[in-house]
Amino acid sequence: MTRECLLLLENLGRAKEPSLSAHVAACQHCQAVVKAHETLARARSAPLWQAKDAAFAQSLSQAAGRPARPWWIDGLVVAAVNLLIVAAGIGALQSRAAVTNLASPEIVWAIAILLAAAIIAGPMIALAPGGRSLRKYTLASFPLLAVAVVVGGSGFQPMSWIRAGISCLVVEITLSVVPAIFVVWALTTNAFRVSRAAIAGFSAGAVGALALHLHCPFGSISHLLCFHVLPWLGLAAATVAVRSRLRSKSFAP
Amino acid sequence: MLRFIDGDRTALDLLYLRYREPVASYLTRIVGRGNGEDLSQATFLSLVRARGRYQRGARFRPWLYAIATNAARDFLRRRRMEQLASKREMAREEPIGAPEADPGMERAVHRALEQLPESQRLAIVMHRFQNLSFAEIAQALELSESAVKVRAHRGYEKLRELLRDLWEGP
Repeated sequence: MTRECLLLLENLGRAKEPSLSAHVAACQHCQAVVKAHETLARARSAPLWQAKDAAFAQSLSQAAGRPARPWWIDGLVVAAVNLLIVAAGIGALQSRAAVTNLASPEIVWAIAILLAAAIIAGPMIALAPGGRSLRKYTLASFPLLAVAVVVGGSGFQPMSWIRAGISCLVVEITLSVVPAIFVVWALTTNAFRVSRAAIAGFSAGAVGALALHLHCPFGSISHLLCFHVLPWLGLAAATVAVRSRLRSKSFAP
Repeated sequence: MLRFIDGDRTALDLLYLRYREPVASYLTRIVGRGNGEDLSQATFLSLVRARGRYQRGARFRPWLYAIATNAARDFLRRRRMEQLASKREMAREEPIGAPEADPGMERAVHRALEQLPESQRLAIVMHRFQNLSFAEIAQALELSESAVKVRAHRGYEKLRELLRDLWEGP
């Protein structure tokens, strides 16, 4: 497809420059486009919509009577819930010290800051109108964050792989379920988009992941991968699946 | 739209009067007659409920068509998921349009449009029937303008094949 082919699209149904006409005469693809465009013009117009019925008029009027809520309020509410739960989780898990991750403090705090950023920024990005490129980059950054969690571990192997793993799994799920429910509720205020739901799910899962990251003393790759990161990814996938089945309150982008 | 957001309820009536027919017509072409009317109501309800998501300075028409497109996509996704409609049922749907128009042509166009991939169909219906510019379509579909043009071009090419009988027939 050439530049002229795309230029033709802008000039369908209008008088064309001689150079463009010459291109159309020589290009089979463009001839097909012109022919199809002309044929569609012969199709009759779609029907006029019937006058709005009383029930719809009432619904519209009621909806208009309610105050408009800016999108970022929902984002802030979800981010605040996430922070409260992660704080409560860290407080509840704390035994001797707030941080029992045995990796070097620089690595522990660098990853913790990234996880906290995901917890706060994730809902805002997932709920913001537009921002397709930002969503794309955010989505791409989550797997990197998951990799950082795995490779940033201390390497310390638990005595009982399964028992330690199950307790981490339970903590991860317990702390992340409520944020996931909240963010799914917030997502129903706009149209379903896989990218929005996935970002929201990742950020909800980051709540449990952050509490575990600070609390869990075990840092072997297999433990972190199977009981910190995989449940996190599973929760993100479940968030997308649940959101896709719920009805949207609005189809706004 | 800004007047409505700022509290002028009459502005909503004006928006509704101005856009209800184009939106219903657009949705009818995507999802069929009865569903198109329902979805156009859902579109205007969404517009009102989600007015807090409208960004000041943004163009209104692409935003409205983005809502309508999302409503149509949601409907089609649910229909696929629930397997409520088979292709045969789609083919049996009543033709759309005014009674004095040519039903054979409309039905053929409707069927041809249904055979296009969704992305191409949306671009062509918005461009050909709703007279949206490619910039507006790109905004509504959250795509780049060149991506929309490529889809429209390919869609028109396919339509030419699908509608060949209409101008090469008896």
